[in-house]
Amino acid sequence: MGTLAIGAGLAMAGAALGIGIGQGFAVGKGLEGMSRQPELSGKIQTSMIVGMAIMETIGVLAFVISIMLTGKIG
Amino acid sequence: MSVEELGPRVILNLCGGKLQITESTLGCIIVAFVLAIVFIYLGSGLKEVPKGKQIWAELIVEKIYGLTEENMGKENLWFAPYVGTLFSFILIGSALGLIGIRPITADVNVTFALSILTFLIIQFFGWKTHGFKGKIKEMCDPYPFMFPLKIIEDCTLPVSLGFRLYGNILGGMVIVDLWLGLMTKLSNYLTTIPFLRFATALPLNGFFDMFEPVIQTFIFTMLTMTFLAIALRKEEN
Repeated sequence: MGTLAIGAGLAMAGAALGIGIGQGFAVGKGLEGMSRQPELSGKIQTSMIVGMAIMETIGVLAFVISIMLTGKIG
Repeated sequence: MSVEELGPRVILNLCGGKLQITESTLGCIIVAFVLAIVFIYLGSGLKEVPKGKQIWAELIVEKIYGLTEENMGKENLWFAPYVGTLFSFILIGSALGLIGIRPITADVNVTFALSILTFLIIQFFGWKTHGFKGKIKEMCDPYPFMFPLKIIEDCTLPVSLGFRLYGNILGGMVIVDLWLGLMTKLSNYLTTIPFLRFATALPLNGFFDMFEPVIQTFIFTMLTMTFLAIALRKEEN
């Protein structure tokens, strides 16, 4: 049973690591573009947020998996 | 709301437990009715010169039409009512945690119903605008062996749309619940009254019940519009 709990934690940890790095890149590049062209900031911000949400899907899928795993512990 | 049982509570068992009416089913019906009543009230008795409630109605309609036109182009503007309905339903449904009700989109059945509806609309209008031959030709582009990959790509769209909304709202709900449980435990060391629950969850509520639903709703409708626009796009040549 203990391995299930470790697996659930590891699923979240791996996903969060990747997403953190990916979203950091996205925001950094987005801010770079915004500071270079402030008149386009609205458009850049929209596509940045949508892109970040698509990245976040992986984390959410990992979250769903770890919830399924925690449900099996009891 | 409790963390021990993540699914929605069953309120009514029909047909010997085969058909269950859960919290989210009831919540969906109530939200749909409330939205219908509010929007019918806002849209009734329109006048040439806007006054009072008509200003709000015009603001909402203008914003939705503007968003649709920006993402889908002028020729697809007739999708705006669908986009607006989706937007208001998901927004109100996800923000229900503010008044202490379980958010209806924290149920995988509700989010999958919405995403499969989007999937069906995309497929229907995609096949309708391109025709059978044109759609097959488009799916075999650039190489014929891409065909199975395109089918998989189409089928992952409702899964990712549904799970994204479900996971985000459920995650927020779980975190707020865990915090409230911790506060109850901490205040139990001093008195039997869980006084620490009062107002300490407000920042969490602000993030998970106000900010997150707006972002997630925006993303759901945005992706719906983007994929619809891709499916409806005609070849230039």
